Amino acid sequence: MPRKPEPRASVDARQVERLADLSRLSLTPQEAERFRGELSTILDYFAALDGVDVSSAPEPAAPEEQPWQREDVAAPSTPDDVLRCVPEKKGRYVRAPRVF
Amino acid sequence: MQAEAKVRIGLEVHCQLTALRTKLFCACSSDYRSSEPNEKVCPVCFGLPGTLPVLNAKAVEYAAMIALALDCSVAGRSLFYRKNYFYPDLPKGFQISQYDKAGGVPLASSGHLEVEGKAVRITRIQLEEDPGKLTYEGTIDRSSHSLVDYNRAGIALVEIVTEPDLEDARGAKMFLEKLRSLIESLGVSDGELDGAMRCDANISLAGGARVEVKNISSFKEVEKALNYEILRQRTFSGAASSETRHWDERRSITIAMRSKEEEQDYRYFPEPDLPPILLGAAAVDGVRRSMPEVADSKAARFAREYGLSPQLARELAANKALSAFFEECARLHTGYQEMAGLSVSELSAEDVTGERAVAPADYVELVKMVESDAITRAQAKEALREATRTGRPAREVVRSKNLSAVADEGAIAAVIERVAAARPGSLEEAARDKKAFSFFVGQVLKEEPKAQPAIVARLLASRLRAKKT
Repeated sequence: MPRKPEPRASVDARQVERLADLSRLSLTPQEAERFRGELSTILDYFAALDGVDVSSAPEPAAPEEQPWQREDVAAPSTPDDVLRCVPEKKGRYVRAPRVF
Repeated sequence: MQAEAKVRIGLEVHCQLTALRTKLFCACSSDYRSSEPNEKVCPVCFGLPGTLPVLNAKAVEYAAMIALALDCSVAGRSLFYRKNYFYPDLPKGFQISQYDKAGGVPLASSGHLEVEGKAVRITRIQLEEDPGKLTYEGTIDRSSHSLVDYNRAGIALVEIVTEPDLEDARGAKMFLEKLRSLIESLGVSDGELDGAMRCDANISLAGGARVEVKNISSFKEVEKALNYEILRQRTFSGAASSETRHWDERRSITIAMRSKEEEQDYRYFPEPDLPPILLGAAAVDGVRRSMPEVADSKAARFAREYGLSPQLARELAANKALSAFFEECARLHTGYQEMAGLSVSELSAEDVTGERAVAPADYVELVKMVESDAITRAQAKEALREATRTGRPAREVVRSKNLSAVADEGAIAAVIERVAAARPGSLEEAARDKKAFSFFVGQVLKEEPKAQPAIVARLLASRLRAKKT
């Protein structure tokens, strides 16, 4: 039975700023504060996992033999199918906002 | 003058496994170079929801070959990790790679490659997927959008990371050239293909910070980029800060890049969609057995099995076709040193594989004639040149051109007397000085090219002894 998470401010304003930067998002101070609160809640919730004793649990994936791998045999690509899902194209290229 | 600060260079080489028919995690063809943009793509390449990567078994085998050729130890169990970053060249938002920290185990580690007698340590070797290719609308500085072609996304890459064991740009270039020929000899990658081998470099001057130079698109550019960066750091002695710079090929300078993610920002974690790669001792042995022999170990074997001098063994082993030719000859005859020496100095790959190739049996007969003093080495060379030019057997050339060594020692002794008479005092000099002795032998050979150098030397030596008494 997992413990009930104890609320704590696990994310600070500087971390939110850094995350926004890495995600190429610009946040207003209000948005930043909102995300700080929401992210803290989410992290606090997952912090419950810290309380679980897993020392005797088996490793989830410990195969003895090599699991399935593919032979090096080509199959037809499906460019039309995937390009249909692309919101913005230029000719055959996928057009994406420039990331600096 | 103050000694210049010592330079330390480490390299990160990315090598596409171009011999594979398909990508690393899907069955799209890897042959994308002449394709239209986004032609060799599928839902896996685009990272669409619901898709799962499935590892190409051959890619593991090829990467393990590279690892073994570099004397690395191959991990019995290695893992794929996600390297998260936000950039349109990877549509998933992460690259499937491997990692050596946070519980990660790369495919192989701790190897080395010897370059000019010095070992360059290999830190690790890992498998990862190549990202797509970005171009920009209009000029790179002004465009607001990038155009992405995902044909390259998912191509199998092997990353080879070295310790900072290189000391200058020239050494780095030598290392890369040797690495490329090694990988090519394994038959897993063709480094000549555009973009098949790329490299980043870490450069630091003693006492200074480590600067990473990225975007070096070919090995030709490496030397230029490193020399520029070393000069830049020397000029701003002590002021180099830890940063990532970009090699601008057009202007031949390095420029500072935007501040980059730090390692922790990549949020590496184990790839949950892929099981570990298991390479037990038996599997590694299997790979080792299926590997073509690479030049260095072949040279060592030639020296060991045939007693060739190390220099000759290296030169022979460096040429695949000649090596094979030599080994065929070695089944017919045991005059290894003469057979190897003559082929290295006189034959090209074309001469033993082309339309007018010399047959091993014919070559062996020619070598036997040299060994029995029937013809001189110079005559053997002449016969080989004629044989490879015309396609006629060398033995026939020897007969038709009437090539034969002068066996009549009296005749050679007479030539010695003629040379001595033409240069008064030369006999006395030859008796005193080794160089003068060789020079004298050379003069005799000039007069009588069909004489065996060894016989001339013996007759001259006994002539000198006779003179003394």
